[in-house]
Amino acid sequence: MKKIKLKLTLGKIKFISFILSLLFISTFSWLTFLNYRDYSEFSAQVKEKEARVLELERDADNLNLLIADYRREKEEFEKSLFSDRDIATFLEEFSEFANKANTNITDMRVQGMQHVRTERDNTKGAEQNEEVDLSLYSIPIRVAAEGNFEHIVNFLIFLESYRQLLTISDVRIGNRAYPALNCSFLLRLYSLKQLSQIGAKN
Amino acid sequence: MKTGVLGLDIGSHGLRYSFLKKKSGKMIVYRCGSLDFEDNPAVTKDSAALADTIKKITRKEKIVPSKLFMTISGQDVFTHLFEVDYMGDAELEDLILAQIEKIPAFSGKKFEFIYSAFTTPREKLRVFFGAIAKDALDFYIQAAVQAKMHLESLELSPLNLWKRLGPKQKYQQRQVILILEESYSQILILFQNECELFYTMSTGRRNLYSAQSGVINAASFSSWREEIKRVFRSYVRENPMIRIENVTLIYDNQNAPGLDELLSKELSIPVSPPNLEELNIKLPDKKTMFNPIYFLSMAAPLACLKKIKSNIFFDPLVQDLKMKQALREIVPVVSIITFLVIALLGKVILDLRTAKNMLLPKDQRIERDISELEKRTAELRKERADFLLVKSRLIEQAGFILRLNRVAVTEIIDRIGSVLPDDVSISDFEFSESGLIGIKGLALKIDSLAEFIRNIDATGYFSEVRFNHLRESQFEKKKIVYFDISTAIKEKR
Repeated sequence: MKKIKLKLTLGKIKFISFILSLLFISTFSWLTFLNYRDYSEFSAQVKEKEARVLELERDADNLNLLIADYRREKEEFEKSLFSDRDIATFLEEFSEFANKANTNITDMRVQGMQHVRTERDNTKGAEQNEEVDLSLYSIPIRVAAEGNFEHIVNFLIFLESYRQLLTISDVRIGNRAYPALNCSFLLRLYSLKQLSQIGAKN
Repeated sequence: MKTGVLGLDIGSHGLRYSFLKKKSGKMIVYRCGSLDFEDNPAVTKDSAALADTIKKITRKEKIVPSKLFMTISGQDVFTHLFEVDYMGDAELEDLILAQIEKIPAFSGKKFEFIYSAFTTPREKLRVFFGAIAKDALDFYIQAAVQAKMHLESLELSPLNLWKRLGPKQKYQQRQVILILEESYSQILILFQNECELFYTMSTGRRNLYSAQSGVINAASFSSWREEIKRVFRSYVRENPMIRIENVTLIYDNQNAPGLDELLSKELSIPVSPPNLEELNIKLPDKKTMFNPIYFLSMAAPLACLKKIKSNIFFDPLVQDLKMKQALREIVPVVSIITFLVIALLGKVILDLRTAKNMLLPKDQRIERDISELEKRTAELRKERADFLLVKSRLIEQAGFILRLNRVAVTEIIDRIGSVLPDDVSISDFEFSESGLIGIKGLALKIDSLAEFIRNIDATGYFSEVRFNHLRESQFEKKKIVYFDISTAIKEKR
């Protein structure tokens, strides 16, 4: 008969139980930690995205405000320019004021619409200019009139003080039969046009 | 209710118990006692009866033992010491088996044995072993289980007395122990970790003392004394350099009063019970008288409390029981705790996952919002960029127009008219888009023309006046000057 020898002891059982328990608890703790980290990261991501939404909304609002400002500026600017309807009105008023100023319009020739070119246009290529769809255009009108000095000056004052943007250049005043004078000038009416509109017209 | 460890010495006629606790480094013996069996449960194989007896002790003494130590003595146990030539463990165990099987009580029966082997100075093996029938061993283990106690160890008396009878320094001396049981007595001579002599005598307390009067039986005592002397003489003869200087007597001092003194006188050497102080044993109060016979029941718990290691006990069998108990108690407890912790963690994981799943639709909605907003913002940025480009363009164009139209024609006419002398008249006036001004006319005196030119210069509004043409002529016998001059509007800085 042999002595009974068992490898497992009470201490070992306790130790194994403890280790197994620890192992299970550690594994679940680790899983819990991983889940917690995952949730925390995800939660942080959602918060970041929420912040991003707010930022984008703020950006969009700011941009909308800026665009609204630009639109208002454009409208303000457009008010000082001639629209197609304003040109017809102006021509009526032009004739009326000429009569009132006792100035005789002997000739009036409307030339083709011209793009207002700046100094930069001369240094840059035409292609770049076409990037901007909306631009200022002038409608040159060569005017020849007769009247005495005072009448002509009054007429010019009326033109210069007109509510919409226009320019008077190439003014020439000469004797005809005193006190009557000949006067010729180039009147430019300014209007805001889109290149596409001009292209369509052309 | 007191807590501590319970030691039992179970013999054929009854059991002795002691209840101890370690306190401030001292072993305090709170309870000691004995119970006689009406019928030996080991004979009737009634483990429940033994379990009831153990429970009765705990109830009677109001104790809660955390561990139970069993020491078996009496007729169930066979102990023996012998010397053989040196041999291997397997051969030695076969030899022990053969010796046990020779005994009629164990012949043909299953049994367990424990042994300890020491090498003698004569290069021999001295083997001290104890054997117990397997059914008896199972019976005691079963009784411990039925008593619902944690059986820490199961030992055989007197094999469990090693190292337990005195402080360490005493191991350098020979310890002679004389145990007087009810129906037999034993002599052990211990030296360091070895048992040099083990001898069993058939004389017990019941032989020495009369059951009725309690008076010592002179003839039995004389015979016993002579047997002890013979054993001592024999030992001294074999070990001539050694003298037996004292004897530790483990006996029932209530039923055999004054035996130590009597024996000391008869043997002419000091005979005394175990020294409690040397054993670091303390009684709860000074009034309590200690009966040395209970030392047999407290040897095992003392060893446990003092952390004295011994290999002479049925460790594997007890370990098996302990493991079963552990499996029944520790494993469920650990499992429940583990399960609870895991369940808690699982709940946390589930909650976290649920929370994450609840966030998913929100996340998708936010993603959509971001996508739409980015698209919208990009469109708005483009629109803004277009506006800025147009604005920049228009500002340039407006600036260009402003430069062309920087001065009103009427203002120039007014300024020229205001500096025109009376005898100077203008026939032609030109104002080109580039800002050049051409004036043609006539003057009655050249001085007047010069004044006109000076006046123009003096305005500071025009640049230097240039003469293009000057011609004198006669008109109605008067000299007149035709002139053609030009100037320009000064650039504003």
